Amino acid sequence: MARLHNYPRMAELSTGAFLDRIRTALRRGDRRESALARPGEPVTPADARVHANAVRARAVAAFPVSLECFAEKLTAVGGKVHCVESADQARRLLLDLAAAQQVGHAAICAYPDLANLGLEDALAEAGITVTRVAPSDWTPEIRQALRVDLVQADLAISGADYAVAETGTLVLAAGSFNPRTATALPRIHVALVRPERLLPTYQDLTLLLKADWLSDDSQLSSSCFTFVTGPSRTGDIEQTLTIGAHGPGEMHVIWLVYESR
Amino acid sequence: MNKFRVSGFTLRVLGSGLLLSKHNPKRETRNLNFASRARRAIADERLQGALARAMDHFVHGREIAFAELEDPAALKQHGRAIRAHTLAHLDEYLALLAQSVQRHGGHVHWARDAAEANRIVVELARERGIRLAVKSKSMATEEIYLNHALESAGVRPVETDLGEWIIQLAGETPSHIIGPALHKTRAEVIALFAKATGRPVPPDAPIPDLTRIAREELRQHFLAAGMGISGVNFAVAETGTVVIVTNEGNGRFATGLPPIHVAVMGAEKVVPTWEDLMVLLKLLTRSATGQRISSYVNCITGPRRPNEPDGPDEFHLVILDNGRSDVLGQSRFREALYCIRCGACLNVCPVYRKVGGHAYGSVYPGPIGAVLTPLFQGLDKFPELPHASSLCGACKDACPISIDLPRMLIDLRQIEAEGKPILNFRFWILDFRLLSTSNQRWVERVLFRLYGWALQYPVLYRLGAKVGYWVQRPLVRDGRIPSVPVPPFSGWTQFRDFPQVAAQPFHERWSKLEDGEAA
Repeated sequence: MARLHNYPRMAELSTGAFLDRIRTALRRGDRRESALARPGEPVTPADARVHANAVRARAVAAFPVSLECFAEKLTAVGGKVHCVESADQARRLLLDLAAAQQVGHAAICAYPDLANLGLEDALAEAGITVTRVAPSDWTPEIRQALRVDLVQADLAISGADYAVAETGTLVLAAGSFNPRTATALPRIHVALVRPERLLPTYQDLTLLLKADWLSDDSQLSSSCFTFVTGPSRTGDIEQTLTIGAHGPGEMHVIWLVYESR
Repeated sequence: MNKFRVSGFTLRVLGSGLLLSKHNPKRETRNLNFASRARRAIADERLQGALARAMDHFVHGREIAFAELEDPAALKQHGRAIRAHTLAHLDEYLALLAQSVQRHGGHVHWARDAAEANRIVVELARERGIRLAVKSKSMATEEIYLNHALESAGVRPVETDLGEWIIQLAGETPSHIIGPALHKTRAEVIALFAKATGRPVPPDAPIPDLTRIAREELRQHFLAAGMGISGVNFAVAETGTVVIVTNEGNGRFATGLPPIHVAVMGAEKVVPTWEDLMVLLKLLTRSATGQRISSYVNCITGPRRPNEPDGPDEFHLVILDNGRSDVLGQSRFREALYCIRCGACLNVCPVYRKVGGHAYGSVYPGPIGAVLTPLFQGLDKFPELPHASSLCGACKDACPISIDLPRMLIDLRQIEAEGKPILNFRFWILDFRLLSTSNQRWVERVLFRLYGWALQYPVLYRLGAKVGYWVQRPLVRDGRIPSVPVPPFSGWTQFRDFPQVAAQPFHERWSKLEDGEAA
């Protein structure tokens, strides 16, 4: 530990000093370049909220086309896409998946979209241990206990805040019932998603992210948005594609299509 | 004339040189010049096979991913416009970024160079008594040799990207920006994993089994680590969001499980808005791995909110200059900072494809490395790198931002040539070794100087053509010169023939033709 003294505490560089170097450099460089206009105007949260409903309405109208695109893109990278037409069908599908993968412990992120599906009871009846993540006062003790549960879980069940058809992607915002590692730790991730969550493009996504999560004083109310597209993968050994590196080796999206009727 | 500034780099270069020799015995190849390292790589059949396979894989993937876009050219142009605008206003966007990070409860640290950045991270670990840090893949931390700094301060850094972990176990440096361990075979990985886990690994273990071993081993580290260190693919100024792109999911763990998350970014990685982010993200993943998007993209803004069940209690962003502001100030090299580190230029480069990343002797290899390394660390330290290119232009075509790498390589060559006097006695006396390795280049320089001088006088030029014709005669075979025994010409004729100097120079033929016409 004596070697720690290699790094004596020193005053850190101030913001001003760092930026001054950049400013000086920019002055030295080509002046014409600094006149470069920005490509596209920045969208403020207020702007976004003005357009949000129109974007949502367009997305709902485009659902059948978007779903086809979503399924094609996600399937291409090894994700599985299902559509169910009733809560009962959703439960049965989930139980089948759990049985096929010998799931002993499932963690459910209590997305409001999942509230009326009766998933917890169905899983418990099938003899599966269920950890339900619901809003709580997350004291260090409770958080530690949850972490232990999540590490043991084989199956993560979540909703999704958004889905993007363009790439077959789910967007999950960290929140009181959605720990950011809950859908990463178990070996299987199943997301049950309502049709109105599906957006055609990333342009729609950025607009809604700003409308829904960014306050007028530019405060984001979630610490982490995770875009998930298919199972975890790696090609680092001899460029051989291997599914299931650190994250889940299986990823399913179940569309609750009856919800739109 | 835009003078190349090297003076400011000298100390830094010395510092990193010491780090290299002190901590990394594997880097003895660093003392060889590019040509020797390249020769060694080309003779390595195993490496040649791995490179060919990997490069074709990446190139093919990128082509398919771009082909399905409606208007790839427009997307690339948009990406370039964003980068150009951002860099031209870098001071404003960095200030905005810092403000936004702080607004969300994160801390911002400014590091002028590698030593400052390392000191900041080490200090954060030391203050909290942290002994184990997990890392998700980051070129910025490779650039500053953060792992060495952590190790010598008693903090164990564990790389968690599979490829990075493999090369960490092997004590090597990444050979590719995207596929750091693409030069490693399965057999080598098996040996490394057996040593690292202390358990035997069957010699025929298939790759999925190896991946599982890494998953299990590293999972323990994720859960035990006191600090998670990540790079930053993009940092969104308007909200203070750092974006980390991974396929394996290690980025989610490294940034989400330990109680403190430290993100290290090159100052140029900032993007103004989320709209801009989406454009660049689309370009990055398609160019890097041919994916429409990577499996995981994490957009992280500050530490865990009070209502959130997990995530770090502290978020620190280290913003690194390390030569970037110097590059920013040189108009003709500024666009080197537009780079989003996708590695596409490596995959198409005929030089990289044969010699691999280690031959460059620098953290950033390939065409972008041949430009960035001399700019960041000093052309005096890496004079050969701008010459490690055939100037074919494939890199510029492949680049999602259309960075004009060939033009910058030529500019660097020009600066290097101009910066060296024909004879420097002090140089000669002080360092014979340096002179001898660059001897060939020195002879070239003298010859070109003579050539340039002779061209100014038609008499001398004509005389030269005549003398050349007579001098070459013993070497000519069937109208070509297949071999010249003296350097630097021998270097050329080793693989190619010289054309013969014509018996009748062009100017003579021309005047004869004119005479003929007149007659």
